[in-house]
Amino acid sequence: MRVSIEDAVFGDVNNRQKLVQLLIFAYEGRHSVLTIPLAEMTESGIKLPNLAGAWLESNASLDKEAWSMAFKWSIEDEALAPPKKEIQIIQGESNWGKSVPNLSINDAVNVLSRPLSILVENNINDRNFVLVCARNEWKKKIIEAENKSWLSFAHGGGGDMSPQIREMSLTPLASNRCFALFDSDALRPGVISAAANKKINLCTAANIPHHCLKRRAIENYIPCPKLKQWAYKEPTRHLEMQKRQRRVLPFVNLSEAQRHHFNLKRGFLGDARHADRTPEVDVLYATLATAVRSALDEGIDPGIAPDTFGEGIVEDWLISDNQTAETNAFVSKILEVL
Amino acid sequence: MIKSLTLANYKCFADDSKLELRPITLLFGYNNTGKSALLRALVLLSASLRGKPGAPISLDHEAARGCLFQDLTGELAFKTRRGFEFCFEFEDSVVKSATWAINEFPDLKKQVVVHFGIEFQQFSCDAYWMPSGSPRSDFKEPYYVVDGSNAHVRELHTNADSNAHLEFSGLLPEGLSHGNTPYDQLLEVALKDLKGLGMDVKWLGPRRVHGERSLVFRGITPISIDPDGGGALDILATEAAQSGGELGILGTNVSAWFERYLGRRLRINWQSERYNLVLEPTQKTKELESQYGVNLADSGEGLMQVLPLLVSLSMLKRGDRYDPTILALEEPESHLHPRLHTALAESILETIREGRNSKVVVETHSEIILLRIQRAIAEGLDHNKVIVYWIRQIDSGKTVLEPVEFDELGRPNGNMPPTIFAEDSRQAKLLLDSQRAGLSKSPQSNS
Repeated sequence: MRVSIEDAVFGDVNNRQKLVQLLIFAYEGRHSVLTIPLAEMTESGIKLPNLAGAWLESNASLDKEAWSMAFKWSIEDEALAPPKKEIQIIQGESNWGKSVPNLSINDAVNVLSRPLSILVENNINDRNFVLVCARNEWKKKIIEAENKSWLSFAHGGGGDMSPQIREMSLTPLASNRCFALFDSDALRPGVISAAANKKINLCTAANIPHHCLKRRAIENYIPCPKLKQWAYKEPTRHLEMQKRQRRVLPFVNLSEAQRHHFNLKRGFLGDARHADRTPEVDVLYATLATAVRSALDEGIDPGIAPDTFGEGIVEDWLISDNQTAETNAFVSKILEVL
Repeated sequence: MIKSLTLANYKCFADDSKLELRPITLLFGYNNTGKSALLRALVLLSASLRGKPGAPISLDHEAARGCLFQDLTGELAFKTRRGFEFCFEFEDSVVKSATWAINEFPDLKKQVVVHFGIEFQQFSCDAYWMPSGSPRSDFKEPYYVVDGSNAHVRELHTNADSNAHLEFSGLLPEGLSHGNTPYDQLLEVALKDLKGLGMDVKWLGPRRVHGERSLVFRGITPISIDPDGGGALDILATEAAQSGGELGILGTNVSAWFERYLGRRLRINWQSERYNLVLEPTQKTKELESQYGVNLADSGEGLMQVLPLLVSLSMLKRGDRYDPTILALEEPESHLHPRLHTALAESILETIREGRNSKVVVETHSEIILLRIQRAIAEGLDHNKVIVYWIRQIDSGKTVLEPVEFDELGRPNGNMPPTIFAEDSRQAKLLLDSQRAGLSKSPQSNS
């Protein structure tokens, strides 16, 4: 998050403690901090506007150096990692309604002290999914942010997280520190379920950054080599492995569209009475041989996500599965609002 | 001009890896990820368009760095595939794209173009080398040509005695067109065009020779600068000799750079048949004139190293018959103070703004070059003229190219890792953290 501070804020002695708190956050890399007007970079270092410059000078030498660095890094971040979310701190009453919220320093500190809540349907499986999707640099940053309590994955209540989104949208304090990630539940390409559309509308109305998966659910992002590995991994459990193989091998031979929208947890039987099932959905699987269809009747396994989104998914598989354009985009979006 | 290069199974580029060339293309990545391999692939494969009979790839070219064919193929893949594929796309040419697949028969160290495809606006032509069973020892096996104009298949032998034969000279076939139809004529034009495109790319490597104190003027003008920067002084001297002994257009351009960023200008100093370049202050007093001039060979290493770059950029801007249209620069910032990285970026920008239709591909670690180019976008340079590739290795050892594009304000899209240039900040923070921790333990207060 980009935090821009009006120069007048530095002129009020009552703001000292809160300003220090904001600058500690910035120095630790939690958010970026800029002044209004923008500081200048001179031969001798950073030159802040008048009141901010005087405030900086009033700090002890090592603190002064630390806060100067925080301002400098923030300017550098604007070039290569510009934050997508911004608040402006003003000397006066908060106005949350602006496109860039204008906040008093007290409200700003309240917002920024709050961890970014990644609202997901299942805070364990979906967290693992996000970490699998994240490239190494981003994964480190997410884990670091979690460890420092700047970010947390919040359980969105299983299948329907709409109540949680609605609750987050009630206060600007919460909606400004929230990111929602949810399944599209799309039974065929490009046709998002009514429930997912409702979540998108709720998020949009409350200005909550979000991502609705293009494929049906996180299970549809498990790369085929990982599924095969899962189907063969415990040779001592012979019968169980045979069952897995009977389902996985036909599944990996499906077309891309079929794999992306198949119900891996419950299969064709699970979708038999699905409200979104239309003739077009049936067309997607119309060419399947009876043997394939019956092998996939019960899906792959209801517990496939926890079984596979742990360790052992290599990036090469994700790239081959053509999923990285989408997943990289939403992971970087999460970090941009952090 | 070359629009893009796609590699597959080439060194660490196992999967299709496309490098699109824009007026400014920057290659970034940590060490040992394949940046240089990519840049040199562009140089080597384009140079092979003008190759000789006997081998499709010009392994004697400097960009090959003395490697064998199998070094160009990924080690694991070589065991099964024995070769690699690549495709050039072109712009402003009758040819849309050309594709090659080259295999080696390792026991004989013989490389064969097993597929050559050429695509025009309206049709295409593909030649496949298809020995029946094991290849003959002389590799004189037929090519089957799928002629896209009327979709019939012809069999061409690699035997020059035959009326219908196909031989490769470097990457380009001879004997592919077989008749006098408009289609055959177009093929002939296209192949000539492709050969010409082999002159497009010039390359300056990362280690450039240190210039001698003075050189003998032989009056022989090199048509281009060597990858190690050799020939740059000769080019300036020949131009000066034709301009009455003073620096010519290229030399004046280069001198202007030294004047602008260092307050020094270049002068060519003739001593009988020898010459050298002297760096002298722009503002100087008449009394001290002789004391201020410094032989360029005695100046800082960075200035000697940057000279061939500046001459190359000036040639790119000039656009004479033999001047390059694409300049590939490997770590051009070497030996330069960060402030001069900005100056280098400005030269690149000036070349692109003022020059003819030309392109610069830069492999670099310099954040400053990138920032200066982003600023140019924010100040009005068309953002579509710039592309950055973040080049990285994934767990399996494969290299992936991730394009980073910019909006009208010079802001990058999400592919650039957030921490790539943060090492100085990280070290500064760790130092300050240590200082703060040390101070908290000492009896003195933090003041």
